[in-house]
Order: sequence, then structure tokens, then C-alpha cells
Amino acid sequence: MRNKLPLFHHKQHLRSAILPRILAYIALKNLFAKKLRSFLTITGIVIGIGAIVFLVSLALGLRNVVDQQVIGSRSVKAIDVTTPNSAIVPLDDARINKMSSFAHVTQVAPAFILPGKVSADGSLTDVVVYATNTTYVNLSALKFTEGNSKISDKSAVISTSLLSLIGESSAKNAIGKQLVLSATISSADGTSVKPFKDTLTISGAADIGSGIAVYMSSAPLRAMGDDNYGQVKVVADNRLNVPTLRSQIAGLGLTTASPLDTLSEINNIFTIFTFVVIGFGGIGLIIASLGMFNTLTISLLERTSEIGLLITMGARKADVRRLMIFESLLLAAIGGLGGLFAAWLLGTVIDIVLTHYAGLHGVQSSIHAFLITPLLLFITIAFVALIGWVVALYPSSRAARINPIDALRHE
Amino acid sequence: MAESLITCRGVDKKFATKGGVVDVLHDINFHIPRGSLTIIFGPSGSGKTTLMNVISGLEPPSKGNLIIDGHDLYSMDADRRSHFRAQTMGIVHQQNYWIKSLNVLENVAIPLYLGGKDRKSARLIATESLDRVGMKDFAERLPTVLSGGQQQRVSMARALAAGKELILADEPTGNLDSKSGDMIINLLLSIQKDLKRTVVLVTHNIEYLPLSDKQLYVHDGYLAEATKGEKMPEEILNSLKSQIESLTQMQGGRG
Repeated sequence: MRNKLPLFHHKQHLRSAILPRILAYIALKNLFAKKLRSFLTITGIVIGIGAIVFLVSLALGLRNVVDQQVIGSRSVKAIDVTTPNSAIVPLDDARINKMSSFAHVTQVAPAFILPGKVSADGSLTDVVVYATNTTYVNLSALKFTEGNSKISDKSAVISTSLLSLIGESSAKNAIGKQLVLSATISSADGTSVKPFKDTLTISGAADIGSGIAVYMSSAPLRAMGDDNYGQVKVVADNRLNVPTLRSQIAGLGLTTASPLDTLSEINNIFTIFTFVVIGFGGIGLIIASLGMFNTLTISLLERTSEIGLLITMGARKADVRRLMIFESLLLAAIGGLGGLFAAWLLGTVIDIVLTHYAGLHGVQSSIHAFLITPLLLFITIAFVALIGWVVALYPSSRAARINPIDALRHE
Repeated sequence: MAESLITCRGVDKKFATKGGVVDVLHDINFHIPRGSLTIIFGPSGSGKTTLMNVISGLEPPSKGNLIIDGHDLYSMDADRRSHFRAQTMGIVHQQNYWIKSLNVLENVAIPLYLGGKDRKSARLIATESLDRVGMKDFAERLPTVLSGGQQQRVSMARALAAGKELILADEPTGNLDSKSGDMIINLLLSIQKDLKRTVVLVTHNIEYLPLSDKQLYVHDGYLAEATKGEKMPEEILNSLKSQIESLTQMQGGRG
């Protein structure tokens, strides 16, 4: 019996036959064979990637903290509408109806804003009166220390700063107490003034900072025939529709403001900050990439005869190229994951220390100054893969061009 | 007459050097029967290794054709030749080359990996191959810690592993003592006879010539051939002997 050569097909040659996981295994073994060099190279990448992720997560975390401080629980879908001149462009029912008819509007909550006085226990205090409805109070995102945002014809929500001025020691005690509110209502053109006075029961207290305010129902003022509102909150169905809606409202001659304005300014500042930190971290990453390139090039030189051997055993250009790329990707992957982990660990430790320090000074909430978002995670992984690939381009194409006979003599 | 596995037609090989063009092989013609043991011999620098490289598809000739099993090797590009090599040839070098980070078993498995085998089945076949050359117990060691003879046996296992028909051995005994060398030659003989493989052996040692089915004598790039039963011309053997003797004296003088 004679042996017959396996059937050889001329056309089935170009695709690499060696399984990717075997290439990965060989690449891993090679990295392990040079432990110190691989360790130093990977450490370089850990530092480079770690520095960038640490700095960017700091920028993202700080932006988040600032956003939360500025926006709080205010809805970014709400638009504050005021009039630049109530005599010429009154913010009245006609304009409110017009705004309600715009597309993408889900809620419209008007408020009278007028100066008033509160008398309780014989004291008289100047306040800002918001005569409105529960929706408006909810959209104002007040921080309630007691009670809730529900207001009716005979109840009012007061600011906590008013408590001591009316002789109440705590918000809890103030609930259910009565106060007498008096105010003057000016007509839109300012020519006539009507007095208003009512006794209201305190249903809630909210912290609005240093302002002194009372939130009451707008029904009594409307009953007096007034529709000269100070402010209207218009809510869009989606934050993306806010700009369109704002321009429509501006078309009515009204002035608009949105938390998105502030957010946009914060974003601009932090975008610049992020680029600056990427620039600094990038220097470390460039050095790490050069280290990787150096490691791969030296590894190729050292293994010239091994590459030659692989070719004599039947490895194709694609196999050799892939082997080098796998090695590079492996270095980058280990370094990249290590860098991500190091950045996360350092950020978490700093957050814990900051929270502890702030706790000593009476701050109760925990601090999150670092934020690793899914997008940052994805971009980092993609970027690490790109570095691994780019760094391997030259050594791998050089390896694929090796003449096996010369390479074996290289031993 | 046995069917021809390798046919070499009018092969010339010239190398361009700084000192000019060097003719290494001149109009080489021969055929190697399937299942035979062919010995290529000749003095140092005669062109034996170049001829072996031409046969293995690693050194394109300046002129002529090399046909293996009906395939014109040099009508293929380098990648096709690599693929052809992966499917048909196992090469044993004089010097042992290894992927140094891999152990003996993984090194033997590499040709199988290159053929697309998964790790489990490749390791299984590689273990059988190591068993055949008596090196199974060394499977987990690094090849570089083995003796020269052991390394050559592992190298043989690697050439055999992928079940290739053609085994090319380029002076496999060159760096070994006579005992280890004899062991390697016996292995090659058993590969040829028991496994029905075609073996092409390059050697200096004319003592092995009687074992061969065919002898190709290379001298200054020219080829003379003799098949079993025929005798190599006396003047060729005498010239070879005297060259070997003078080489031995030179080495003795240095020592």
C-alpha cells in the first residue's frame, strides 16, 4: 500500500487556518517567557491608560456633582417663561392658552408673583408671594422639610427661612398653624392696585435657601379677575423639544430660561477641562505606546528564527502577522484592563476619604467625585484595542516579510 | 519502476553577491520515487542544502521546475507554497529550532495547529508522534533543555506529526555523536519502511549510503545519481573520502 499525499487545493490557501485561540495561547506563552519585560511594558500601559481614565472620570464626576448642585431635582424639560414688560406683553390667559396649544407641551403652570406681608404672633414680615398651583410648586423642585407640595384655597407652603420670623422653632410645629397674608395686586399697566388679604393654614415648609416666600393657591387672585402672571412654567414632552418650544414662546414676545442653559455652560467648561486632562494623560499613553512598540520590535528580533521556523512548517504571512497582532493586543488588553481597574480603585479610595473627611465637617451625603460611565468604559476599551493594533502594524508586517532561510540562519 | 513523487527539471540556482553572481546549482535533473529513502550527499559547500531548500519550496530556483506529486511548486506564490508545505512536508534541520516559550508537546503540535487542528486533538496526535520516537516522557519539558540527540528525535516527531508523506532531513546527524546519529538514521528508516513515507536525507556520512534506495551526489553544483544496485562511480566516492579526511585533519590540527 502506498501513501497518497493529501488532496491539495490551490485556492484554499490564503485564509489563516490556525485557530485564533491557539495564536492567543502562543502569544500569551511568549509574554510569560519574558516576564520582566512584559511586566514593565504592561505597567507602562496601566499607568498611561490609568492616568487618562482617572483624570477623565474625575472630570465627569465633578461635572456630575456640579450638575446636581445647579439643577438639583429641577426638571430639564421645564421652561421658565416671563415677560420683559408686562405693560406691553402681558403674561395673561390669552398667551398661556396659546402656549398650551403648542406641540410637545405637556403642562403649563402659571404663577402670580407679588410682594406681600405675613403677620403671625404679632410680627409682620415681608415675603414674596407665589400664587399658583401644586404643579408649579412641584416643578419648582422645592426641598420639603415638612409637609408636601399640595396647596389649596386655604393652605400655604412657606419657606423654612420664614419659620423663625413668625416665631416657630421647627417646621413640624408650624404645620397646621395659621398666618395672615396681605398683598397688593397691580394691574398689568401698573395704573391700578387692589389689596388682598386672607388667612391661610401652613401645610408644608420647604428649604429654598435665604429667600422668604409663601406659596399659595392662585384661585383667590383669579376670582378677583387678575390674569397678570409673573411667571409660567411650560413643560415639554422631551428635553430635545425644549429649544424648539423656547423659540416658539419667544415668538410671542416672552422671555424664556431653562436649566439646560446652565447645563450647557457647565458642559462647555467641563469639555475643555476634559480635553486638557486627556492631553496630560495622553503624554503618558504615548510613552506607554512607544514602550509597547519597543517590546514588540525587540521580541520580533529575538524570535526571527522562530518566525522562520513557523514559515518552514507551513505558516502563511497571515499567520505570522496575526501572531504579532495577538501579542500586541494581549499586552494592550492586560494593560488597559489593569489601567481601568487602577483608575477605578484610586477614584473609589479618594471618594471614600473625601466622604469621610466631609462627614467630619457635618456633610451627610457621600461624595462621588469620580464617575466611570459605560461610554468611558467603551471608549477606553476601543482605544486600547486601537493602540494594540496600530503598534503591531509595523512589526507584524515586517515579520510577515521575513525570509525563512535568512531567519533560520539568524539563530 | 515506482511512481515519482518529486521531479526536478533543469534547475539552476544563482545567488547575487557583492563579489558577483555565484552559480550554486547547474542544470539539476532527477526524480525521487514515492516511498523511497534518497540520500543527497557531497562535500561542504557543494550545494546540498540549497538543493534541499529548493525541494522544500523555500528557495525559488533561478531556472527550471520542481514538481511534487504533480504540483509545480514554484508556479505557486510564497503563501501557496507554505500551505503546500504544511500539508505535504515535514522538515528536520541539522540545527534544532524551537518556539522556545512552548514545551516539547506544543512544539510538536505546531504543524497540526497550522493545519487548523484544535488544541485537544493536536496534542493527542503530537503525543502519539512523540511516543513513536520514544520521547513521550519528555512532553512537558522545554525542548532547549534536552540533549542534541533527544532534540533531533523531537524534531522528527514534529516532522511526522501532521501525517505528511514527505520527510526532508537536512544533515540531522551533523551535530550528534555516532551513537545518537545511528539512532536518528534508524528512526528515519523505520519511518520510511513502516510508515511508508518518502524520506530525503542530506548527509556527509557515506556509511549511510547502502541504506538508501537512491543516491544523489552533489559536487560543485553538479549532480550525479545512482539507484539501489547501481554503484556510485569510484572516483566520486574517492574524492568525497579525501575531502572528508582533509576536513578531519584540519579539525584535529586545530584541536
